[in-house]
Amino acid sequence: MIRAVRHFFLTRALREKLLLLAFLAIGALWWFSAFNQRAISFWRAQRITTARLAEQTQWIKNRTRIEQAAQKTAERLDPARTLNGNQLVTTVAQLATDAGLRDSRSGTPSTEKSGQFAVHSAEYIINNAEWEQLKSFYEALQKRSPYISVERFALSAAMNAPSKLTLNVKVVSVEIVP
Amino acid sequence: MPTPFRFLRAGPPPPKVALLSDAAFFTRAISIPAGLTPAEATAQIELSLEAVSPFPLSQLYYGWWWQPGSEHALLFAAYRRRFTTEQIATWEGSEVVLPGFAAALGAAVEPATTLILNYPDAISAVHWSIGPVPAKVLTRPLEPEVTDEERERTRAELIQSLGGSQHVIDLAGPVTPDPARSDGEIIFRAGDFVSRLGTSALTAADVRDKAELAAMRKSRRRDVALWQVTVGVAASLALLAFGELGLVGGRMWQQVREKQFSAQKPLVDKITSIHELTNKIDELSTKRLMPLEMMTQLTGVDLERKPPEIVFTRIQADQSRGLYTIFVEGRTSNAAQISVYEATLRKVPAIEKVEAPISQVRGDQAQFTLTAVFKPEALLAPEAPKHPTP
Repeated sequence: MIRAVRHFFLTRALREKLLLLAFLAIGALWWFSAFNQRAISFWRAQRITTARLAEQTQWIKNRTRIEQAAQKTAERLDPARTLNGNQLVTTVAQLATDAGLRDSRSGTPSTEKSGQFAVHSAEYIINNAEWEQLKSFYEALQKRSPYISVERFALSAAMNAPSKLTLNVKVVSVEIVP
Repeated sequence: MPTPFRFLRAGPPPPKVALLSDAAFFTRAISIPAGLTPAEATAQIELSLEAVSPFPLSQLYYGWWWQPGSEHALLFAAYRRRFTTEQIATWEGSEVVLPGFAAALGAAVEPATTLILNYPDAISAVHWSIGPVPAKVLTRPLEPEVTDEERERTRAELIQSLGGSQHVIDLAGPVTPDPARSDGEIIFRAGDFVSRLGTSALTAADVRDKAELAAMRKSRRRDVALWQVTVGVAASLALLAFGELGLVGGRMWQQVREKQFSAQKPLVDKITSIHELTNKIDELSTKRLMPLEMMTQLTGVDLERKPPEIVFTRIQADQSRGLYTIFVEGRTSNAAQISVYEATLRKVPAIEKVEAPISQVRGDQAQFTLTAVFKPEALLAPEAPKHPTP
């Protein structure tokens, strides 16, 4: 068949040969350009999927180890001393009150939960505080570690009254969900 | 039902060959010295033709048949004016133009063989004595109304005049070219008789003007090159088609993998979440943020490190910005003390890095931001430090 096509081609006039070749070349270039874009796009997508699947495989492979580590971590904590979101807010408020801090307010606690763990966090703002009161509050908080931890601590003094301090603290509690 | 592409099924047609009347040509066998190259033999043959021809070469249509190693070549030439313009016009597009007998010269024959070619108006006899090049070619014209007896008598007379024929091959019909299977040769056939003429032999045997032939060969080479480029482009199109099929297959494979990814995602998210929370709880247990302990290191237990002119206005520590990093904003009425204080802090063993650039100067008041990074082991001292007033 190729000989017949070859004979057909060779017996055409030169301009017909050139036109045929030009049309084929333009078509090939056009197609190649479109194909190239789609191929690159596919190649990138498959590489991303390969990487994601490999990452998933690693996580699934390490599942037992991760669950064992979580179990060990849970065993180090006393479930009775862990605090839920509401308990976190009330406990910190109580510690502040115990330290003599009256002008305080808390934000709404937020919760991250997975498996047997829940981590609650809440913002706490204390205004017009004396240094000794704050120090006492801080030490009380630290004594509740790891059931209550400080994640962010910002202490500022008023410009006109440097002895009056404002504390903005973000506290975190761990809860073991039964 | 005929289609525009029926020629594809039919295969290539035979090459267009113009076979001229043998009677128009005179033939001569000329000796060729041994060991000549084809180019030298060509020069020798053309010289010989000039010598034997009554006309200059420019007024002849001529060709020859010679095989490397042969001791002689067969020349054939015709006066150009023996062919009318109409006859010459029919040669247009022919791959080769030969006298009729020349189509049979590529036959593999025994020594002392005579080949008889029967035409309606003539009989030609080609005689090989030894080797692949015929020694003699004779043609006898016949009247259109010639009888079989007269034709037979002419044939016998031709064989007798050639002499020494041990084998006689009679071709009942004309030799015709086979469909082109290769560029390297043209195969002529008449019944069982086969004559293969290679490209170089055809080039020499073609009787057309040699300059015209050279131009035709050049355009043929150009056309073949164009064909090869076209085939290359067509092949790339075929490759692209395969590539498209590959992409379709690849996308199906990709869909399967994406489904697998989606199916595994809830489980993996759960494992990741457990891992992150476990790490976070471990960090809460073992890596506490200790802002006041860090501040104590900055001031000294009895404020011995901090110059009295320097006042802290804001202290910030944030786990997300570094568990062992503290940011202090302060002011002083003595800007020179900032550098002194920074130098003092650099000497504190617990501090890994400290920077205290001035952020603003207003009147005699300079504001600065101090960033200190502590060595983790320095903050894990067992005894609880006494926290001074900032």
